[in-house]
Amino acid sequence: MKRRAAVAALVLLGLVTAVYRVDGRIQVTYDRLLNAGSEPRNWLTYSGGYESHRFSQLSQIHTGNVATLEHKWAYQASVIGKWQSTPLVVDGIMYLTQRMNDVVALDARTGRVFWTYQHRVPADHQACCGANNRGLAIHGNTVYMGTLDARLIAIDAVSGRVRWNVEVVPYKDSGYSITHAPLVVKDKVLVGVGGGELGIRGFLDAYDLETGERRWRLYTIPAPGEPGHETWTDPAGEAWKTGGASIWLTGSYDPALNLTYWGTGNPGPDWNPAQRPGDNLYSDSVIAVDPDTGTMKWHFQFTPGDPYDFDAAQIPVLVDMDWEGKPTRVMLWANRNGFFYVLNRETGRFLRGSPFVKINWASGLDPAGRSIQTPPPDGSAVWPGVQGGTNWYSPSYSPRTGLLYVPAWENYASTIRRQHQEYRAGRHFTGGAWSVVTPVAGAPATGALGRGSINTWTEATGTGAVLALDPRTGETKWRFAMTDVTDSGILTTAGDVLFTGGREGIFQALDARTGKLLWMSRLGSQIVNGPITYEVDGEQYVTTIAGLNLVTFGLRR
Amino acid sequence: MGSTRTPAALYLSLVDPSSAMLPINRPIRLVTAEGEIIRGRRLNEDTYAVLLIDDRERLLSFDKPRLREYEVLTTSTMPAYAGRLTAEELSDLLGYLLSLKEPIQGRAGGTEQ
Repeated sequence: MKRRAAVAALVLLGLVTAVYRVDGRIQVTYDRLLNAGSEPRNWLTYSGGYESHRFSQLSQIHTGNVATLEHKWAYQASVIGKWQSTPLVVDGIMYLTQRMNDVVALDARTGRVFWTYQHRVPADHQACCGANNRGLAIHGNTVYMGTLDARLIAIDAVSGRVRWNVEVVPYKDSGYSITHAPLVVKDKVLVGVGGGELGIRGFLDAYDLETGERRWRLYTIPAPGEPGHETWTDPAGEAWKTGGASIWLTGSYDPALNLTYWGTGNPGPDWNPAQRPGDNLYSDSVIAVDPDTGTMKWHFQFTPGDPYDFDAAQIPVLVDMDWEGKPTRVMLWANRNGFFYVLNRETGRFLRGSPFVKINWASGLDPAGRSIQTPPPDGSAVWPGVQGGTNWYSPSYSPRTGLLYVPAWENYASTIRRQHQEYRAGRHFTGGAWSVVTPVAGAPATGALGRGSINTWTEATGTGAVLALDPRTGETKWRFAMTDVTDSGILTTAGDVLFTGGREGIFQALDARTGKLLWMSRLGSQIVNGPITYEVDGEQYVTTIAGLNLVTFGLRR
Repeated sequence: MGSTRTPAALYLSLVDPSSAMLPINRPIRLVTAEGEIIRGRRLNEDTYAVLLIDDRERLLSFDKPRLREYEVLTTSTMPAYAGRLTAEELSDLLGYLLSLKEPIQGRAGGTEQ
C-alpha cells in the first residue's frame, strides 16, 4: 500500500512537474529577446535574433559529423499550399503557424501537439499573392500572429487561448493582409501589411503587447505635404493612394541605435510606371524606424520608380565590422533587383554595391548607390526576372566566416507586358503581366511560383544557387549550384554547417567555408521556408519544412 | 498539347523540331562510371540525379556525380517534316494537335507577398 501511494505520489509529482515545465518556463522577457544569440538552444525570433543572422552558436552538429544526421520526427499539416513558416522554439516547445492561420504548439523533442489554435479566415479575404503565413513573434508567455484578414492576434503560449484580437485594417475589398511574422520590440509588437498587387497604401504599425492598442502607424507612402511625397509626380496627384509599398517580411532591430529596419514592397501598379511617374518613395526601400515613436530616421531606395516588381522584401542583416579601418554598423542586403548592397545602418549611407547575378536593367550604381537604369525595351528579356536574383527567402550571415549566404536564382529572365489599368478596390492592380523567358518561343513555361513534381523548366530557364558573398568586396567566395531554382532560406551554425533546401525537395548540409556538400536528404516536396536549429535535453536538432511535412533531424545515437 | 502550345510553336516543331524542342525533351548522352554509353530522353532532373527513358525504352536513373560524362544535346531525334508533308497535310496535322486540349493550371496574378 505504501509503495502504491509512493508510486501515485511520484506520478502526481511527475504530472505536476510536467505542467510546471510548460507553465513555468515560457517567460520570454525582452532581455531574452535582446540576447537571443546567447541561448542558442532556442529560436526566439523569426530570423533567430534581432540582427537577423540566421546563425546559431550550436556546434554539436558540425562538419565532421553532419553526415550522420538522421530523421527524428515529423509533423504533418493538413492544408495544402506552400508552407513558408519559420518555427519558434522556446525551452523545448515549438510554436509555428500553418495554413490558413493556425498556430500549433509542439513538443520540440517528439513533434507531438500540445495545442492548436485556429483563426477562422473569412472566405472573402484577399491574400494578394498566396495565402501565406511566415511565422510568429513571442514575448512573455504570449505568441503574436498577423492574419490574412489583416488582424493581429495575441495567443496564450500555454493554453492556446486568445488574449486579444484586433483589426489592423479592414480587409474587405481593401487588398490588405498580413503574411509575415511580427517583431516584438520593448513593449510593442510591430507588424506591416501585404497587398502590393492590390493597390494598397502600405504601412507599419505598433501595438501594445498587453492590450493590443495601436500606438503608432507609419505609412510607407507619404501623404501630400510629407517628405518624399514629391516623388509621386502624376499630374492627378492620385497615384500615391494606391501605390503599394507593402511590408511583407519581418524587420530587424539594432538596440544600440534603437532603430528597426524594414524592407518595403513594389510600387503599384507593378509593371506600368507610366501611371505613377517619379521615384515612388518609399517603395522598394529599406526604412529605419524608431520603435518608440514610429518616426522614420532614414531611408534608402534600391529601385527608384521600379517597373520590374523588385520588392525590397528581404531580411535586413545587421553586422558590425571594420569598414575602411573604422568599426562600423553596417547592413547587408542582397536585393531582388540583383545588386548586393552594404549600407551604414546608422545613417543609411551607401558603402558599396555590385551585382551578384546577371543584370541588364541597370549598368551599375552611382556613388550614392542609386541604380543607373538602362531599361530593356518593353517585351524583351529583363535579367534578373520578376522573381528576382533573390527574394524573400532568408539569407544567413556567419560571424565565423564573415560571409553572407544568399539563395539565388541564376540564368533567369522575364519579359514584361505593360498596360494601363484602372484601380478598382480589391482587384489586382498590376498594370500588365509577365512571362518567364524560355529558350523556345511559344513553348509552355511554368510560372515562377511553382510546378509539379517534374522539373519541366530545366536548367535552360533558370537555376538555383547558394552564393557565399564577401561583404567587403562583393566577391562570390564560393557557389553551390542547384539544377532547379530555390525558395529556401539558409541557416548557418557554429559547427560551420550551412543548411538549405530548394524546389527539388532536397535538404542539404554544406561546409560553410567551402560550399562542399556534406549531407543531403530527399524530402519529396518543395522546401520553401527557412531551416532552424535548437537543442532539447542536450541534443541539437535541425528542422525544415518540405511540402506538408515539418521534418526534424538529429545526430545518430 | 493544344492548350499549352501556340499554333506557331507546334508548326515549328513539325518543320524544324530542333529549334522548337523543349529543354526537358532534349536528348541526352551519358557515360556511366563503368563506361556504358546511354542515349535517351530526359524525363526529370535535379541537382543529384537524372531520370530518362533510353532508346531501348528502359526507365533509368543515374546519380550525376558518378557519371563519367553527361551531355544535353540540342538536336532533336524527330525528323523535320518540312518537304515530307504537303502544306495541306501539315495543316491537318496542326489542326489535330491543337485539338488535343486539357484544362491547364492558371498562373497566379502576382508574385509572393
